[in-house]
Amino acid sequence: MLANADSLKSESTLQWSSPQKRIVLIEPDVELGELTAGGVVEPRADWSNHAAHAIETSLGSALSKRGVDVKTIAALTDPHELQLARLHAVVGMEILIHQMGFSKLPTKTTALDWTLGPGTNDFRTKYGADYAMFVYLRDSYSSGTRKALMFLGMANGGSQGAFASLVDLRTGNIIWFKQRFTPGGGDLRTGAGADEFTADLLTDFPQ
Amino acid sequence: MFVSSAARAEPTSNATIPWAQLPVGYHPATDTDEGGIWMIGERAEAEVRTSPLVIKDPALNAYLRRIVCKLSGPYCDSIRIYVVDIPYVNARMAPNGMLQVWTGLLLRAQNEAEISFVLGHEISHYLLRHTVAQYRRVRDQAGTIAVIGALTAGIGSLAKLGLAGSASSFSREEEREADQRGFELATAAGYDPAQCVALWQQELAEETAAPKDGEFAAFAANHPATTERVSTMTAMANVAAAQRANWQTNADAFRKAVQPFRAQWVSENIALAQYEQSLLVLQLLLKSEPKSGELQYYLAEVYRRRNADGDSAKALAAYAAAVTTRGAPPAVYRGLGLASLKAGDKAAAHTAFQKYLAAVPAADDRAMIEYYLSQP
Repeated sequence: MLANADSLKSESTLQWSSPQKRIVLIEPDVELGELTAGGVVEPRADWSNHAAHAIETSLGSALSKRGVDVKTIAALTDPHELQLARLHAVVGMEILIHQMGFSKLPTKTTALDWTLGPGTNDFRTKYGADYAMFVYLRDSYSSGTRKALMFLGMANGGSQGAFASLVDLRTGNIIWFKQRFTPGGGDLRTGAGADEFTADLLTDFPQ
Repeated sequence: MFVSSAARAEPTSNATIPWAQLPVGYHPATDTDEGGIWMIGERAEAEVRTSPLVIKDPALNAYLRRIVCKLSGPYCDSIRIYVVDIPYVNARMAPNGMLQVWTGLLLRAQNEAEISFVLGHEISHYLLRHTVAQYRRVRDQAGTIAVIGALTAGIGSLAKLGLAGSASSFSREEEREADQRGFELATAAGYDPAQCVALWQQELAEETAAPKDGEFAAFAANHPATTERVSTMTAMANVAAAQRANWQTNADAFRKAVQPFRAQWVSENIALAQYEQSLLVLQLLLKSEPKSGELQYYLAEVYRRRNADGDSAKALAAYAAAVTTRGAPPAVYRGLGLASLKAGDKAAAHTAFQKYLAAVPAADDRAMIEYYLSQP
């Protein structure tokens, strides 16, 4: 399986303001669906919930192994936090399209120069963390009928697309951005799939 | 033909509303297609909940909730109302019970009964689980096309045309069913059936007046207020009228609930720069409140901004009328000043501008008005 992984960073080492070394892990924005015969992706609540929790758990333990204190914020309800998560989704798309993708901006060449704005400082004080990590994932899995069509060569399979950012809460700047688009990809409906996803996601993560 | 991943028993109805397709407090299983659609609805609702366009005023929300509860009985707690400040006529029910009511609708309604039929219609979409049916239709048609396409190349494209027509909206049957059931809910709650078509008639009039390629026309195309629907509902109303002697419209309660927002909503309507439909809206409002200085002021504003042939004279006349009528906002003097300037009457313009600045000393366009005053 060919994987297309790409990352950008503006810092190779993390700067901590306290020995606690805390990263806030924002609830991953995850939607899994079933790719039906006709190409309609049918969202699945159970797969989505399961994958979000599995990725959270897997990321949390992988980061802990690097000596980081992880605080997970699941089930966002605070309006400011919800907006920040949505802002990340939008900015992430912009990075994909205008720096890494087909519509490159002349001002966004090699350096990673994007920010969610200084409003993130509120989270720094609220959670006592220096960084926040955001993950965005959309994934689909072929239904039985779809697989039959694939066998006939009349259709392609599901695909997995994800991106993640590490944000310095002192400035709001995105200091690490990773995109990962994998036709096929690991099966995120299972725990093992989440671990494989996380391991791949965290290559090139700042020290 | 193509069954979704989990074939489950469909939920049963509730005895209070026997035609409902779900019980009170229903939530679909998370491993079903309906569960997936509800998840999307919940995500959309998380965004709506934090949108700056949502009007959170407790009194207005409590008022609308009372109506929804009158109509839906035990299902009331399954429905969450969001008043969205968008100046178009719309109400939309998501499959998970999120009900949006746009302020363009509340601006044009004349009484509680009129909106009860619209809310009844939307509540019926929820009770009849139309969104699931619509989604399954799209998915199954797409599947049918794909398989047919695989087996016999060439037919697929014709079927795709059929798919495009049904994908974006409820079917005519579903809309008819929601009209019918919504009508039943509203009349069961005592609302006057004669009020059921007023909003549709207004929308039809506005669609006719709107420029064919304008923004309003594009919006109206997605929300057809067809003459067929109007005649069907009129027929239902005629049959139902004799069933009671004391139908309610609750015009006073309605007016009291929306009055605090009226000026804001009218301004937003005018700001669309769709002046033909703004005139129809103002004429509608003036019909029941001919002595409203506020409405007369806004009517003048529409003429002034539209600025078509003969409009400056109409604007001047309307400002002059508004000035002498109770309730006109202080900005009426500014309008009178601008219209007088246009008509070449500098003396009247200056008098009006001075009255404006006296009434609104902290006006944010003071510098502009002072400039006009400084011109000989």
